Parts: sequence; C-alpha cells; structure tokens
Amino acid sequence: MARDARRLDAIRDRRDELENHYIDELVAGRISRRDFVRKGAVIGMSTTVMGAVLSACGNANNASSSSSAAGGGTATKGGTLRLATQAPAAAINPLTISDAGGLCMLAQTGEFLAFDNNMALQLEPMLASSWKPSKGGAVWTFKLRSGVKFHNGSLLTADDVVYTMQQLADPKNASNALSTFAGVLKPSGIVKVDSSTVAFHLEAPNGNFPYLVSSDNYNAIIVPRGTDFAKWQSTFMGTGPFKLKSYTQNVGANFVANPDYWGGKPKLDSTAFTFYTSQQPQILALQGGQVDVIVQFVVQGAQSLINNSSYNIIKLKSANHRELSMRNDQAPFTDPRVRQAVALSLDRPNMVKALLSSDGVLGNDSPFSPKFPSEDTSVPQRAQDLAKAKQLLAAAGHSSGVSTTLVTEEYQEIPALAQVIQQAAAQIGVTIKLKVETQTAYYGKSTYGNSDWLDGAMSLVDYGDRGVPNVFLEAPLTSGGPWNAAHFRNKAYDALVKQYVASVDLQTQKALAGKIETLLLAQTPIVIPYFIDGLTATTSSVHGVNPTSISAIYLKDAYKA
Amino acid sequence: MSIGSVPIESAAAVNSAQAELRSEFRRNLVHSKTFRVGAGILGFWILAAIFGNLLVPHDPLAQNLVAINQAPSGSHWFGTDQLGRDMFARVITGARDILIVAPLATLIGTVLGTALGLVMGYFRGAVDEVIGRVVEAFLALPLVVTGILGVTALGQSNTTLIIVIGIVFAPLIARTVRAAVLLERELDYVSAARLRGETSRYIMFVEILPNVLAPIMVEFTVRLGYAVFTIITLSFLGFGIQPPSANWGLEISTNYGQVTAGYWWEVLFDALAIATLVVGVNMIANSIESALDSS
Amino acid sequence: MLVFILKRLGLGLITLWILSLIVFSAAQLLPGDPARAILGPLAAPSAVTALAHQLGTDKSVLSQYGTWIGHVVTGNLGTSHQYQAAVGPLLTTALGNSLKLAALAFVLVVPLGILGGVIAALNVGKPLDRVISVVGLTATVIPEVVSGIVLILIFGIALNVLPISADTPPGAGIGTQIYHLIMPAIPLTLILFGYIEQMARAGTVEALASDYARTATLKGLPRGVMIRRHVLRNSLLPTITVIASQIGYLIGGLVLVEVLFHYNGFGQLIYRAATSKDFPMLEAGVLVIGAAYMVATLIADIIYSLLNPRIRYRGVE
Repeated sequence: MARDARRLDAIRDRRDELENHYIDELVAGRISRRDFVRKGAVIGMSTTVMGAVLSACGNANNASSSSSAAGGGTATKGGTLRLATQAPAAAINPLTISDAGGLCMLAQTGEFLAFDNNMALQLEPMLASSWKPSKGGAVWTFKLRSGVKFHNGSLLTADDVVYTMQQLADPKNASNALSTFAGVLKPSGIVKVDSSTVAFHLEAPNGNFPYLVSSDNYNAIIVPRGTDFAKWQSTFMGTGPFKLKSYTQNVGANFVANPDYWGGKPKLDSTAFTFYTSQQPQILALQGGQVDVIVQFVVQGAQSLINNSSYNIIKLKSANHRELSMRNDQAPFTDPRVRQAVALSLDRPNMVKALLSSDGVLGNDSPFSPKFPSEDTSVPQRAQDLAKAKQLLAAAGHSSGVSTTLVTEEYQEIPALAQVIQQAAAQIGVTIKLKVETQTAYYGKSTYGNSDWLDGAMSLVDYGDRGVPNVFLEAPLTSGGPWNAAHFRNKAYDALVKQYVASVDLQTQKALAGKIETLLLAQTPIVIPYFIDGLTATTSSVHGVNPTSISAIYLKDAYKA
Repeated sequence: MSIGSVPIESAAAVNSAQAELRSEFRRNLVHSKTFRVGAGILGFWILAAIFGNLLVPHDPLAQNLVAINQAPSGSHWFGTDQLGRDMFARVITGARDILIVAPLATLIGTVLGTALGLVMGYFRGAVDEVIGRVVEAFLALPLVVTGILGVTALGQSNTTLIIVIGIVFAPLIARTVRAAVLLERELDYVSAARLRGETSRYIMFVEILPNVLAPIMVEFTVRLGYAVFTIITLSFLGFGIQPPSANWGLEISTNYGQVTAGYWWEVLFDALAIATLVVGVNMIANSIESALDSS
Repeated sequence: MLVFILKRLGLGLITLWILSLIVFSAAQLLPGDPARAILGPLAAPSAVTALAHQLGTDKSVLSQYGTWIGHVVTGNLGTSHQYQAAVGPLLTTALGNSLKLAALAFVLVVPLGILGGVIAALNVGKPLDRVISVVGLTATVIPEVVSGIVLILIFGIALNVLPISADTPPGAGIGTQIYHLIMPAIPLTLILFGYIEQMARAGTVEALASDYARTATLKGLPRGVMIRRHVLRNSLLPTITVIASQIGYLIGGLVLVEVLFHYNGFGQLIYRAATSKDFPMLEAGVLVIGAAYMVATLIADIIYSLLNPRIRYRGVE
C-alpha cells in the first residue's frame, strides 16, 4: 500500500482522538477500507475527510460512492413511477406506525437526521450534515443541514428536531421509538444548542447512537414543531424529495416531486403507489405491466421473477432473521446440551436453499449477521452433526428422547421453517408438537405471562433488519430484556453486551463480538438458522431506486429509461 | 273419540307404521344409484384416511429439501410440495382430520339444535320468543366471523373446529326442528300424553322426538356436506388444522401463493379431492332425502 | 299486515342488539389488544398503555360497550381503531366493491339458473332433467376454494386469459372492472346456480300442472309466454328469499372469494377487523350483515304469506 505519510499527518492534525484511532486502525490494516468508511460515517467523519485519508493511504476509491446504483441507459427525465407495496395496516401516524406498508409511506415525504443506506451498507448524512460524539460517546452533537424547507415552506430548525425527538422519546406517548430509546435517551436529554445544532445527552454511552436517529429507527422522521401526529396522515408534512398529492386508505397514494428539495429536484415527476394485502397480486401486476416496482417481496411464489431478464432484482444484505428460542428455565432445555443438540440437528445450507431459494446466508446462532462489520468471522460455523447431537442428548440423560411444543406465527416462510425444524429434531429423538397461530394470537400482549411468543417452551419468531445488532443482543437475550423468550439469564453475557454497546471503536467491538458469539454457541439459548436478504423487483427499465430492508424505498434518483 | 282408549291404540299404531316406513325407507335407499355412488366415494376416503399411510409409496410427512416443488413424475405421481413432500401421499391421507371433525361437529350441532328446536316448538310463547331471538342473532352472524372469533379465542385445534361448526349449525337445525314440532304438538297423541299427566320432558323427547326424526336425519346429512365445506373454508383462511398433518384446505392455503411460480400440482389435486368428497357426501344426503320423501 | 311488519322490525332490532352483545363478548375473549395490534409486537409497554388510553380501550368493558351503543343509536358507527378513520366511509367503499361482485354474479346466475330450471321442468323425468339437477346440486356444494383454484389454474395460469387479481388500478373503467371480476364471480355463480335452478324447476312444473296452464293452453296461449309470465312470479321471488336467508353463509363464501382473488371487499374488511381486533369496525360490519339478514327474512316471510295465505303470522295470532 503506497502511503503518503505527510498528507496523512496533515489530515490527522485536524481530526479528533476517535477519528485518528480509526485512521490508525486503517493504516495498521486492522480494519478494511470498507469498514473504515462505514465506521467513520457513524462517528461523523465527512466523506471528504475519509476520501482524503483513503487516497493518502494509496487508495483512490472514492468514499462517497454513497447512494443509489444508477444503472445504464439514458435517463429520461420526468414521468411517473408506479409501485406495488403492502397496504399499510394502520393509520399513518409517525409515532405509532410499525408495519412495512406504513413505514414505506412514511419515508416517501419524511426524512431522518441520518440515512442508513442499505445498498451501500453505510450511514449517510440526511437532515443532519454532520455529527460528533463526546469523549466516551455519552453526548452526541448533530449539526443540521442549512436551507432545508418543509413542504409548507417553513425552514427546518433545531426546534423542529427537538420537538420531534422529544415526542418520540416521551414515555407518556404512544411512541414506537420508545423500545429503541429505552435506557438510551430521555426527552430531557434532547437539547437545542443553537438554531442549527442539537445535542443528545444519553443515559449511557452508546457507540452507535447515530443509527438510533437514522432511518434505522423508522419512526424518527423529522416533522415541524407542534405537529399533531394523529393528524399527520392528512398532510404527510416532511422535507423529502416528494410531496403528498393524495392518500386513500386500502387503495393507494400519489406523490409529486418537490421542486425545492435540498438535494435537488428528483428525476421523476411523480410516484404512484398501489396497496396490496398479499404478495401474489403484486407479482401479477408487475408481470402484467401495471406496476414498475415491487417494493419488497419474499421468494415463495416469486420464483418466476428471479433469473428473468425482464426484471431487475435488488438484493440487500440484511440482518432480518428467524429466532428459535428454547426456555432455558424449563426442562428439558435447562441443560445447554439439549439446546445444542437441537441446533446441531439442522441442515442449514439446504434450509437456505429450500426455504429462501438461496437468497440468504447461514446463521450461527448469534445475532451477528455478516452485514455487521463487528462480526467476528473467525468463530466457526455450526454445521449439522446428528451423531454428536444424539450423544449430547444421551449425556444430558435423554437417550430415550424428549417431547415439547413449538409455538410460532403465521408469517412468510415461518410455518414451513417450523416443520423443517420439527422433522430435523425428530431425527435425534426430540419430538415437537407444532402450534402455528395468527400473529395477534402468537404475540398476545407481548409481556411475560401474556404471550405465547414469550412463554412457549420453544418459540419461533421473526426479527426485522437493523443497522446495528444492539437491539438483537439486548432485548431478546439479556437478563432484563423485554423480549427474552428464551428466559436466558447469564451474567457474563449481560456484562459483555453492556461493554459492546458502550464501545465506540471497531476493534473493541470485534473482540467483544467474538466473545459473545462463542458464549452463545456454548449456551445456545437461541437458534438463528439464517439471515434473509431483502428483495425488491423492478422492470428492467427502472433505475436508481434505493430500497431499504425494512421495506422503505427512496426514489430521489429513480428514473425510467 | 273416547279419551280413555286413545293413547294405547294410537301409540301402537304409530309404532308399527313407523317400523313399516323405516324398512321401506331402507329399501328405497339401497336401491338408489345415487346413494351407492355417494357411499362408494365416501367409503373410499374413509379407507384412505384409515389405511392410507400403508398404501401410499411415500410417507406423507417426510420432507426432502433437495427435491422441492417437483412436477408430477413416475416417482412422485402428484409432484412434491415446497418442503419436498410427496403430494400423492398427502392428498390420499389428507381426509383424515376432515372425516373426524365433520361428523362430530354435525352431531353436536344436530343434538344442540334438536334440543333447542324441541323446547322452542313445544313451549312456544315467551320461551320461543327469547330463544328465537338468540337463534336468529346467531343465524345472522357470518360463518367466517364465528369461525375467527371461536378459533382465535379457543386456539387452533380439531376440538375448537368441532365446537365452532357445531355452534354454527345448531340454530339452523333448531329452526327446522321447531317447525316440525309446531305441527306435531297439535296432534292427538301429544294432547293425550298431556292428559295422561306426562312431564313436558317426557313428551318432548319420548313422544315427539321419534316423530320428527325424519327431518332431523335429512338436516344431519345435508349439514354433513356443509361441515366439510366449512372445514375447508376455515382451513383455507388459516383457522383450521395445524401443520404438518396433511390437510386439503390447509395445503391449498399454504401452497396457493406458489401457483404464480407455476407449481399447479401443489393445489390442484387437493382441490379435486375436496370436490369428490363433498359431492359424495351430498349424493348420500340427496338420496336419503328422496328415499324419505317417497316412503 | 302492517302490525305484523312493525312487530317484526321491532323484534329485528332486539335481535341486532343481541347480535352486538354476542360479537362484543366474543371479541373480549380474543387474545391481544387493539393498541398492541397497531403498534406492533415490539413496541414498549408504556407506548401501548398510552395508545390504549387514546383509543379508550383501557376503559371497562361495560363502559366501552356503553359508549359504542350510545354512538350507534345516534347513527354514528364510530372510529376504526386500526385506521383512525370513521367506520362509515370505509364500510361503504368495501360494501360497494362487494356489491359489484355480487351484482355480476347475479347477472350471470339468474338467467342461467332460470333457463336451466325451465329446461329441466320441460323434460321432467328425462335424462336431461337429471343431468341439469345433478350438475346444479353438485355446483352448489363445491366449496369456492375448489372452483376458484381450478378456474385460476385454467384461465389465469395455463391459458392466461383472465386476471387472477380482482382489484383494478384506481380509476379503471367499468369494462376493466368487469373483466377483473369475471373469474371471482364464477364460484359464487356456481354456488347459487343449484338453488335457482331447483326453484325455477319446481315453479315451472307447478305452473305447467296448474289450472291456469290448462286454460292458457286451451286458449292457445303460446307455452313460452305462459312460462315467462308464470315462472318468473313463482320462482324468482322465492329464490331471492332463499338466497337472502342464507346471507350469513354467502358472506362466508364472499370472504373466501375475496381472499382468493385479492379483492378489497366487505368480506376482507370484516376478516381484517376480526383478526386485528378492530372492534368498532367488526361490530359495524356484523350489524350491517345482520340488518340485511333481518330485512331479507322479513321480505321472505311476507312473500311466502302472499303466495301461500294459509300460513298465519305468529305475531298476529
């Protein structure tokens, strides 16, 4: 690597301690260039600085390869892009919304402080132009982009950001962001520094805080101060590249280009979304030329779109996964050997092939997906080993087998996955009775004692994508976690996770991740058989769409050629 | 008519007349071609449900993840499903749950409906009005709502399905029975029994019930067909029987999303199997009805 | 007669009230709660509590029911928990869609059924009569899932001539809408064909055997004219009443057809309301069906009494 030491030093002079730490790591070869860009973005290093560092390190690659993959063909400006999406399941209220269709709507006109670009796998500035952590990562200061206007013409200021964030973090509100902000941020911690600067004083240091105010925390679109969230649906008031033209419940929504958009007028004149309650008609609509894009789909039933040159399939690496929990506090799963035996019975490569048509990657029974740069890839992948599984069961005193019940939800491929697990476990003498329920029945009240999800002896649940693994590590696995369906209580684990969340630099995170992965393999409170790619389909004439794995889609640069 | 002599004579006459009718009914039925075909179809599915596992070339539950969604071939006559299970085996054995649930549900509905109908028709007046309103309310409740409420509240199982369908059928049967009882209670043998000082319960269940058995029997067989229909509908909507057991309705519901990918065999054979069973049961119901009519 | 109708309407209201009680109490048994359904499984408990308070679902069961029934009496069907919008317009749109589908099915089935019945009646006892009757009865008992799937596989997939999805893009013309509704209408048509055919057959047989027919034949009135005049009166009205009294059942079939063909109708609306515990929506939907059922059975009774004066009204006795 040809390195320009003098240029590097010149850059270093103006960087803070943490930034210099990453530069050191890069220079020492401990992190890759890609990871350098990703982690640098999180701590608020600008793309220009990162570009300068990389070029000084003998890499001409531009760090700001950012947003969408603008494909070939000549861009025809204007026109309407027609998209098929899941019908929003509830009112479009930025505070409460939680379903895929609703989130997709929210992100059409609303924007976040930062954007978790799932295609480039990096965090990018959006309404904030830059951000900085304090030493230790307990206070994060966000500088707002200047000249950003809401669709009603008013300028975006720190007051709007403080209002929005305080509403989201207020425990008295019906805010879906509370599960993200719990133990991290209180309304009183959100402080206006000046008209274009906001500081977040955290309850505990958090090395990945920018993700929590990015598009990753999907409720956190910035709205004008004083907004009544319950009435937001009538205006869709935001700062984004498109403005609301019409929204009709259960039917569809239309948006028009915002000529005053801070990022420049979008290429399209307008977008038209049609709502569907299931996937099949979306496929038919795409095949029939009634829509240009399916915002998000799963492989089952869509096999005909894949490997067909009329369509572009955009695949996103994602941390979206299925989690099989076993009650660590109830026989027979009190013994880690029994839990390991179940995990060893699975033929994961063939599961990915059959259940996901290979659009996914193997899971190793920890939430560290290959998407996360902090994953310790040196921890060996668990593979099927029936002999060892039987041996472990026998050693645990269950040579004659055990029987139990697996409860799960009616959602995507999950019932099929449950049956595969059932058959795999049967091979080693673990007899599983299946109970597949509607999602409402399965989740119940989502609190211990009132939820089949959290109370079942074995429970199989879905977790959507996140930009960082923090939520996956904490809520379902720590002793006090609210979604600990495995009832896993392990002090060593809790301590490791606490350290991991607080740590700011990647090397430390990686080292801790390795320990966490090893501990989870030994204990096996949960089984994560695979991570599922996010899939978006467009006709081959559509370019520049930028989907996220939580089923939003960004269309600023989209066009039809 | 002298009051003293009537009861004994008329009861005897009624009994012998009934016996004659019954044997004539049986003759009519056995000679009916419709009945024979229907019974043949039903018999086939009953045998398949009991012994199907022994007859089919593959285990209906055995998955094969490397041979999923295979088109029909020599080794898999009806192809394989999304987990590589043999569709032929699953279709042949897929009647079992239906054949358990349908008769039991119909039986519960018939017993409950008959009891309600007897009480309503016999007492008339206030009792009839009050029960009648509730029965009416249940009749107005769409099947799918009853199904969803029942199944989500009681949990998904065969037992729930039996109870839910029983509850749906009871008001329908009650209405028929009530109408029959209203006619019957005006007849002499009932007033005679009342004069003898028999209890209401005795008159309803011992005197009247045997005389309204014919419409009840027709209702039972007709409802049996609808029970199959209902099980399939609820299973398709996701409120039926639990996987992995092979079940036609559930299978169609899980594999339906796949037809756009061209995997028609994963739903077609199940659909045809349902059609044969429903038609078979209905043929039996029709022939019983016409045998009763002509005897 | 008027007294009878008024009394029946009064009783109908009582029945609707009982119906609302049944739905309300059954809905209480359902797991989960509306606030949780809106916020999703992963929302913080405090957020759920806050939303439940906004929706009023944290109040006692009795007071919730009281509020709801108070609104209904004044003609206000309430606000959908799920969509935070008035139930009325949502219901009307969905009902409109379902009625379109039902109307198309009727337009297809009524002429076909009557034609089948008349042909069967003119051939009483002959093979053609038996064939039509068997086909009719068979069609009536085949679940919509089965006929729907077979249609989809043949016309939607193999021949690719009819759209599988019943929903049309917003603003589609009537032609496009009908084109999309043909396939979903067929399973409903099949279910109804048997009923109508049997009614028409019975009506025609009766008409042919009546004094009127003999006189008409003597007078040289063409058989066609005679059948048209008589059969329509004798078979069409009872047919409609039979269908009306089966409305609960038919709505069940409608849900299925709407799910199968992805149609945004009344059945789907009720189905979604029940699964997401959207109580105001579910109650309103069930009451609309209930009211339709009451009116339909009332009309049925009136028609029966007109056709058959021997039946005495329970209410007037």
